[in-house]
Amino acid sequence: MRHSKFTLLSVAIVLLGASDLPQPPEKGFELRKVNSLALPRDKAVTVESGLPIPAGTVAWVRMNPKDSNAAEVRPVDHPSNAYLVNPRAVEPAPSSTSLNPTITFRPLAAALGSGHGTGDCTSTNFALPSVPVFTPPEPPAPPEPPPVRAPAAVAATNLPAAATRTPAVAAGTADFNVPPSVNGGTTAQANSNLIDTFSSAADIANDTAGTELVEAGIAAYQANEQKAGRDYQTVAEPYRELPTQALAPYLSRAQKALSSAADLLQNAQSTSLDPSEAARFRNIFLNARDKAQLGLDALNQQPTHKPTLGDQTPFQGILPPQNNEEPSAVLGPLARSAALANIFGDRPGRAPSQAATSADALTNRLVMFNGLPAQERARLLPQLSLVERPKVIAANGKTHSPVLLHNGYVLGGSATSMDCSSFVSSILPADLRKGRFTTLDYKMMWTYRRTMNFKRPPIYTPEREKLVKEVAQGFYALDVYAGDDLAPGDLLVYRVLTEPIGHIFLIRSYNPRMLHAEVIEAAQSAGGIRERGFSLSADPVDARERYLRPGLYLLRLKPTSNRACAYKDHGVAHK
Amino acid sequence: MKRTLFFGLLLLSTHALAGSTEQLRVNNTFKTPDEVVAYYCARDASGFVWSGLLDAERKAFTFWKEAPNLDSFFIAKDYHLGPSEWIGHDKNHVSITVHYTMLAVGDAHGTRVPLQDRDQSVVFELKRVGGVWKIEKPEASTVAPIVLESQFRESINPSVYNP
Repeated sequence: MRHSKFTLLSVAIVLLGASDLPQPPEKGFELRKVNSLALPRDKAVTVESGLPIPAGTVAWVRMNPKDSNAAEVRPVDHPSNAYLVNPRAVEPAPSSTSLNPTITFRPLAAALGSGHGTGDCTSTNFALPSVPVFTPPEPPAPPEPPPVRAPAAVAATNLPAAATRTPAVAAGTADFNVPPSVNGGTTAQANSNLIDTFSSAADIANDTAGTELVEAGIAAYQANEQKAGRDYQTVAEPYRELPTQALAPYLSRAQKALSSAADLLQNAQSTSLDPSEAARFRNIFLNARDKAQLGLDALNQQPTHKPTLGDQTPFQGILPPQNNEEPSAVLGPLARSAALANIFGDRPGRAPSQAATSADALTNRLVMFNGLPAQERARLLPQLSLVERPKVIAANGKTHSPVLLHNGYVLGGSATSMDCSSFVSSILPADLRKGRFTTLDYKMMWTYRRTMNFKRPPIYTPEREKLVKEVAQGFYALDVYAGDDLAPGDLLVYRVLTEPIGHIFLIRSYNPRMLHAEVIEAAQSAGGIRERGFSLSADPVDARERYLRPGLYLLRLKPTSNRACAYKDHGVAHK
Repeated sequence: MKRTLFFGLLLLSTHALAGSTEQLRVNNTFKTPDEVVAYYCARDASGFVWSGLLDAERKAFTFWKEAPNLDSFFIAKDYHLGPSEWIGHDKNHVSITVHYTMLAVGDAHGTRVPLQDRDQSVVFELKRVGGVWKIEKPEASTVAPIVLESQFRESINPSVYNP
């Protein structure tokens, strides 16, 4: 919210400071309420009342944050919510009255950054009251132009099409569309100023929205990490006071249970899990099984066990290290000896909660949970946050619901529409990408959005291709090689088709002059995320010419709820 | 002789991997660098490098600071290890080339990108420290998982690889 206020203030300053700015239309355009709003481009809305809306109108449509089915028109207060009536998109009213035109709106930012007056298919159609809710046809082609932050000069060159008067304007029904210039300049100059101002304001708004998305994404990631930490402590608790030798039956039970779970996933007829998640969890179960077995072996190799204070005292976790052992509070409750610490140690020097989303911590969690007696597992299960019970049909036809402890966002293959902040946070760690969308998928989304063509290879299964195409609708595909700048919240994907190596960065900030971005990415084995600088060019900063690195794809989440995700918990838009 | 026998077993194992996986080790008790590379490649072939190399395993068998962590992998039909060769005159440095017959780049969702260049190799460089051989190169950031085709329960239509 802090950023939103800042944005509003910035916009206000920009608007007040520009003396030759046009004012919002005051006559001839009095849309007061829009009902049945479905944000913003793929569904219809109806307008409750209004006067004739001439072609070429600049309108300001604000989503009602308290009512997801309503919007209102008011003076611009947030450029990302401003819409420009595309002058070429005004169609004859179905009822042949001027009160019932069907008007095409498109986001102002998008209009400014692309060719105007193209009559493209990206707009929302607003129908006036006597017209029942109109569902626009699915756009065939071309792809939706992204909200490019076009330089002012480029925007100005696009202007004539936008400023072209339609017959309605020429007839004098809407002279406010082309505001008079206070400094005596031409209409084109006035509109150029208008567009410059809106462009700047839109930039600020988009950057703010992106920053909010980044912050929300990081918060979602951290919340997930905290959940994993709490789950770790929950399943670790029963082990804290167990004597070391009493661990053997627990590890034995874990070994058997995990072996069965791995077999179940490997030989399942079908499962509600995504196939990739099923494959990954098979391996995680196998690793946990092997850890349990190695732990048993280590216990059995201890010749004689002399009970130590740490075995039976409630202060075990805070005792100093003995015989080069580190405190179990750091290494976990199974790390009772050097040999066991080698198997079950988390990450020396780090508290378990910090490493809770690492692969090691997850396998340890699985060993501990599966080692517990059945009644103890049943008691703890409701206390765990990161747990799924997927439906698995075994080879013999029986249906099972194994307990799947995880590090977040385990969903079925067809599940989309998660919260946008969660979506962003799930994009970063490769472990989570394995089960959802890979860097190749994001590259294909970009290509599909740019070309409306799902190029082959790669070869996708039909279901997967459908899903990737569907989620692609949630993004704008920007082209860094064509001059599109990065903005906070953007996803920068690097992927070469014939290599499995790919990276994905969440942009925190960008300096276009230096071609330098501050990015957030997955920390590899730490199971966390980290921030670092990333230069879009490998050439030295002082080189006469700097070329962009190849293989970069820039995706920008739409600012409203979309096929990829829904905005639920921050102020950009509301579903 | 020992090495020949080992290679024989390895080749057999790579052909019989369907469903079976290389077991996790967290202690590097191998005596030769060949065994270390064979273990790593077998784990990799079973998909464990893709699904997430454990820290204990990484520390035991490599000098890597981080584990490779990618969402996709190469799919290979088979592989075999070449002989180990000393690097220079240093008896604590060896290189071992592993030859792969690659089929595609893919992911566990079933997406496949056929590869033109089927014969590819990875050169592992190992260093002996304290009597223990560990992988030094390639570095983790340049390592891609390579999973054997036989790990996938459903066989892939050959036309996928010959579009």
